[in-house]
Amino acid sequence: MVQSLTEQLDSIRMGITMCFSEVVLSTGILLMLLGGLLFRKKPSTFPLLAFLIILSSLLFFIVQAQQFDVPVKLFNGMLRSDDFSTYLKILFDIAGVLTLAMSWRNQKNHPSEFYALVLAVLLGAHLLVMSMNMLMVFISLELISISSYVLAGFAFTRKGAEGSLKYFLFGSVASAVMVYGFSILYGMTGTLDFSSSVFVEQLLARNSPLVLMAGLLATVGFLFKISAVPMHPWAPDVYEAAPMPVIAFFSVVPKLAGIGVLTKFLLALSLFGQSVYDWQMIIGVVAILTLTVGNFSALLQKNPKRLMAYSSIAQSGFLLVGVVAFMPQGVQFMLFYATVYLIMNFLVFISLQYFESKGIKSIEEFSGTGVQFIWSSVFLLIGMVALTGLPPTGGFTGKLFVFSSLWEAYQLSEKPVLLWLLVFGLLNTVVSLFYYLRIPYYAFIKSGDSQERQNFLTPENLLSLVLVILILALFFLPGMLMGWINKITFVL
Amino acid sequence: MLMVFLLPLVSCVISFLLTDRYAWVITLTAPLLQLISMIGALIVFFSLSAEPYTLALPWFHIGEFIFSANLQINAVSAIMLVVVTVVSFLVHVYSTGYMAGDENNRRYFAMLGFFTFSMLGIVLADNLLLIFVFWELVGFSSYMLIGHWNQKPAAVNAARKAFIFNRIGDAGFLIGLMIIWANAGTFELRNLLLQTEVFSWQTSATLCIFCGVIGKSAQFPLFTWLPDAMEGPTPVSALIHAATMVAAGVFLLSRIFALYTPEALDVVALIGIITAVLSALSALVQTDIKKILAYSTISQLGLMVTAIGAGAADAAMLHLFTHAFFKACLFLSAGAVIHVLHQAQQQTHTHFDVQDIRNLGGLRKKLPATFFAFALSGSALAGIPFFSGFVSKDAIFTGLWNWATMGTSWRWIVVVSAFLVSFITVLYTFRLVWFMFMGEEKSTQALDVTEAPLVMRLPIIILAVASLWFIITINPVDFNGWLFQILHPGKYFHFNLMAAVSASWVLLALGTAHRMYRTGKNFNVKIFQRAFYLDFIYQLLFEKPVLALASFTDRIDRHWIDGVLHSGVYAQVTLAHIIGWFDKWIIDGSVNAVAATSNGLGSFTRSFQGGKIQLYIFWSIFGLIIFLIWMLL
Repeated sequence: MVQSLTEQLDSIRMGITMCFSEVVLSTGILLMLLGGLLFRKKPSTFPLLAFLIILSSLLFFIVQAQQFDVPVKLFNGMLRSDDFSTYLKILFDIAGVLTLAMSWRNQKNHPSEFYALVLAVLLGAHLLVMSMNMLMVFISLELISISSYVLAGFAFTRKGAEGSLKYFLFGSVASAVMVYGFSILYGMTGTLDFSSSVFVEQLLARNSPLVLMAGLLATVGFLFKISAVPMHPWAPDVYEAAPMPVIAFFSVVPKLAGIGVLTKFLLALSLFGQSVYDWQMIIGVVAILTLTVGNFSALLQKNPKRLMAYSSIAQSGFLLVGVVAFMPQGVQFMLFYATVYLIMNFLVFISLQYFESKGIKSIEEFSGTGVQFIWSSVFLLIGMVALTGLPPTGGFTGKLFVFSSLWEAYQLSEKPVLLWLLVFGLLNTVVSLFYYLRIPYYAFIKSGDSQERQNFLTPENLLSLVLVILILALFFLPGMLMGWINKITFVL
Repeated sequence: MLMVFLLPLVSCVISFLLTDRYAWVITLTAPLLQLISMIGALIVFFSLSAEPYTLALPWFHIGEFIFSANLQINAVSAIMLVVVTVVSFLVHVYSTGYMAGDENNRRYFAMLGFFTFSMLGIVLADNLLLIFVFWELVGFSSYMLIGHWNQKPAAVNAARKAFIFNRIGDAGFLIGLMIIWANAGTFELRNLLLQTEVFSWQTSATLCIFCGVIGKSAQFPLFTWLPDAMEGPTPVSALIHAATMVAAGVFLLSRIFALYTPEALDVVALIGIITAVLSALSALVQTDIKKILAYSTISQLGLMVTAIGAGAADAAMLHLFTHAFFKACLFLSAGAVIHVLHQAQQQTHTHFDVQDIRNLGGLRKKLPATFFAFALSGSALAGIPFFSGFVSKDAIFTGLWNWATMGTSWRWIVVVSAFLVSFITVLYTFRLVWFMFMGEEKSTQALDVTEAPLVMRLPIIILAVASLWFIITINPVDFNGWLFQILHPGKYFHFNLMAAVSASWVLLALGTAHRMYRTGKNFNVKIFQRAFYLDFIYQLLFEKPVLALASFTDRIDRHWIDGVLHSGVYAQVTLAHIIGWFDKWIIDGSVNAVAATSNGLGSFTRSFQGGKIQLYIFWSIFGLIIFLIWMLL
């Protein structure tokens, strides 16, 4: 039961070498705060510093890529480094870089704190997808949450403060419910390590409704992070009030981290398929509800930010579809979709931010922008088309993959809920067409006050161009990315 | 048995629930419940069989570890049960007189009941974790009781000091518990005591638990809280000293005695004897009645701990038993003296410190019953033959002697020191009695002093009679009586020479004391008076640096305090704005929501977004519950 001290020290030392990028991020947070005290006069240094920190974290994965093929338990089983979590971590870091690109010219208020918080969210996300222990899950989830609450208020407006407070209150409730679930699970199993065999055996032995209740309560924390029904209502208010880079960041990093850990946790909860409770059905229903609520609520929105909030809820539903398949392939397709989602979401948000900086804040004001800002409008159009899931974009490929894995799962198990999910998913895709294409509709079809064309060679546009190329490439050459993802083995 | 255990708690609850108007009811219910509890304890004690009786109560389990809250009664705990309930009952009765008219009577009796309940918990529990829980409850209730007169700053400080000193010790206890858990994997005393092999950390574990004992039983170096705790009401002091708080430590030691390794026992013995000597010397020069008694308690506890360290746990328990009665009697009599003098003072409007023995004298004529009781129990404390203290002290000396003959030469120093302590005990007891009751009246001359009321006198008399030898043995020079037989069945080595030596030693001390104090002269040695400057050392070593650190951080704080204040104000203003905005929204929003619901499915899902966070959370939790019900059906 008790490890010798030297063994523990050895495992901690090894853990630190494997967690190089997390160590870099942690030191980065401290450096950033320290820098904020010392170089208050030079705000431009902070994005650069943050960029270097994330880049070195990213480089570590690329240089050491082969090291992650074998899952390694770190810190006495608190964390585990494997290729699944590594892939997600790479996505987080890319999202971090894109967020920096969105904010480096616009974040004038408290830059050091802003970047430190962004780094803290990244660190939390890194740790969350590696967690194998409920305690660690909770701590890293709170690291993300608490940093996010503050980030949500970074517009420093009345609305921003309100959104941040709402986010905080809602998040506190979700955390409390989750910890309650965890504690019941711990009480029943005596272990916090949900990957251990003890956990599964104890839950199998104790076949009471309490298991379902505890599991459901524990899942609530993750559903909150990925803003899935019924833990979604915070999203629109927070999105509406927060600055654009922050929303883009929120809609990707915490969401993917939540999905990543949910996938692992669900596998443990369903006791590798042996549970009497049908967790596939539970998550299937959650996915159906999330898709429906997200898409239908988005229909009548007038504010692009709110619209994107509902869109991000709906996209969570699509990501959940990959999880529901409960198959290794489903997880791989989910990862593919997550990658595409990252790119198309940032593409849309970068364009929206550009329009916002030109004073266009509601959907109606987009009238005529197709003429005025032609390139940005085209990029936005492609992003929206990708989010809808139409060819020729990566969004189509992603949805195709996810739904095909769902279809296979249905054929294997013939559970009606999977068929329903498929039907609802396809229907919702059609519904989403209406609101996703409303902005381009205003931009290109409706004519506004004709003004002169404006300068469109901004850094934002160049970045959008790169993302557009990527999203098109993922349609024409999906094998490029899939080949890499296929090497990922998802094990608990 | 459970009834014995729970009645004090019932008393506590009743006292809390009653309103102030019916406060007088408590003075009836509380002693009554204690009486029933005491009778129950006596029944338990006399129906005791050789086998320990266990009441199994499952507590909780984490995974495969099962925690039980078993209660167990064996010989030692049955005796403790009797001691605690008897003393507690008498103290309750006494308190109805002593605390009459106190405005916080309810809280007082509630905490008294709670105190007794927690102590019974320690006595009965069969699980170290449970013992720790009750241990902390004892600490808490003693804190409440010592600081009962919370308008007195000294009382509050004393309560805090007692609390903090106990916390220091308890930290050790907690570490000890963790070590035991890590090594043995169980907290059940039954299983722990049965274990034969010594685990590698056992010495450290037991010493850590001993830290807790040092705090609670006021051993060196953590004993200075006990004299300060005299700021509390006197009956509380009696309870703390005789039966509950400090006895808990000695009891715990003897309960887990089998766990102690020889090395650990040597440390225990050393700490015990150091405490005994230091505090006996301090008691010699104190001038406050209660402080003298407090130091004498510490010194007696030191002797008990030494006895346990020497392997004579049964002798220690015997002494704990006798000590409980005569020390309670001493405190209650002292309380009676203080009480009546206070009342007399109030009538004549004179003022002097009634607790200072230099102001007292010649009270034997005015307070004959109190004098009689004080003299009896004082003789027991001094260990004069035919008193219970002589017998139990004899048991301890025999135990120490056996221990010393078996071991190395340094143990003889301990034995000699123990004899020295018993000598000094006689000196300070004689001094106390002489200064209070003999000689000429000093400041009290003009006062019209009458005896304390019957409710206070009766417990004192009962306890005084219980200080005689026959409560533990029939033969006044042989400690191997009926009580010791229960503690230690079978033949026990006893030698009469020890009793003779002890008796003559005490008489010699008595002679010396008479020569020294006959004239009423007061010796004063500064270092004894200040209890070896331990408090001063603590102040120098811990308090000053901590305060310096605190003021340092305070100064840092001050630099930031402006900013914090400002942001606080801003936050408030923002919040106010938000609330104002909310108000507007509730009115507008409800109308909008009604309009929106008619707008089809899209509007339906969106209508949950009323903008009000309470509603969001409500809907989410509602959805979750629906989900749960649906899945379960």
